[in-house]
Amino acid sequence: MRWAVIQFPGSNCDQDVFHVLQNVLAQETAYVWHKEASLGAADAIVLPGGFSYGDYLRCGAIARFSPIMPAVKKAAAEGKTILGICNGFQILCEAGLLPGVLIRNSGLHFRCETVPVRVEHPASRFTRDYLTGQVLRLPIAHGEGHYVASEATLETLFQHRQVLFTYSDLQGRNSPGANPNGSQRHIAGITNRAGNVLGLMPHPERASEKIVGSDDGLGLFTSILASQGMAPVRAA
Amino acid sequence: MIRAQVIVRPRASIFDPQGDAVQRAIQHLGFSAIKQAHVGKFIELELDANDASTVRAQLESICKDLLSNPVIEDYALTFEASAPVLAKKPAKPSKSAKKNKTPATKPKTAAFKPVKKAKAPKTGKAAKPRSAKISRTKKARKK
Repeated sequence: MRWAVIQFPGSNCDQDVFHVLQNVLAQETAYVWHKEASLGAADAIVLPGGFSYGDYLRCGAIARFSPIMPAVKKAAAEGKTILGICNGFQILCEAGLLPGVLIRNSGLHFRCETVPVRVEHPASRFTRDYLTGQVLRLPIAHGEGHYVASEATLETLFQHRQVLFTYSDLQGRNSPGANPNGSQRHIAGITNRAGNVLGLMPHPERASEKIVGSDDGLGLFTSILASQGMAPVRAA
Repeated sequence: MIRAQVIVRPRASIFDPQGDAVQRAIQHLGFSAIKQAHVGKFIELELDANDASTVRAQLESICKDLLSNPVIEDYALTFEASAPVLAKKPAKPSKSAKKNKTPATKPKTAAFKPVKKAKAPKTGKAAKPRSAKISRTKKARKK
């Protein structure tokens, strides 16, 4: 599979994603600078974490107008896989590719820790290698991860099974105490209605090798490969 | 010349963590009359235009698309004539006028320049490592 990792000014998880795709999963991976207008022949596009444009105005508000974004929107409309992690999730929301928006954590603190994240269901191209209710240990590192949407939007998200990940405790129970940022309905990651665009605040790319403490996030990438009929080959 | 002023407020229905923290801080100071605080943004745009009606439509769309997010925020757009409040611009021509009148100001500026140059690199050197450190700590706080 050919992957494009978009680099915005201020992206700082681009190399982590690139490493997992190219070195752990032996994927054909290329960086795409945000000023480019084309994504080339990429089958899947990653918007990595970071602080694009210094998070000025709102997170993702300026990156959303980057020259590459029309190509990202076109790819999304064509059904290509789009993955936005952390700041990438914020950009996808600002760009209107995902509903809702991410605001300041309710506790105001920047949360940088590994948290339990529950997989809501495996019926998506991003979660097919997981089980319903499986609890993953994934790192988070954000100050603005509090997911907000109208009540009607939240209902629609759950009704159409667009919520793939929620914050939970280690037993998989959602609770305010296990919610690190105050996200509505404990939402950690959602897809668009078509199911080909995913945004999530936790960092699966930082938990894709045992040596870094957890490889619980690797399943997200292998799920994408499996959905495209690719065997999850490990470069090792 | 006109100036556009945009006030962006969090919507009443959306929880505003910053406003909540500010309100609590004020109560902590013993001022209990503050029941709620809302933290928004004030953005000022200086325009190369003289008539608000010609730019209003464009600015409204800029407010909706970039300066605010309608999911969580409301905005208010107002215009005012950009009167030279600080009067910096009119001051400059008068200085140059003086220079033209008295050539004696030339050696003065020349005398000042080396001093400025000597100071500037020092502050520049001192400032650079600081900013580098800040950027490092920012990088460390990855998202």
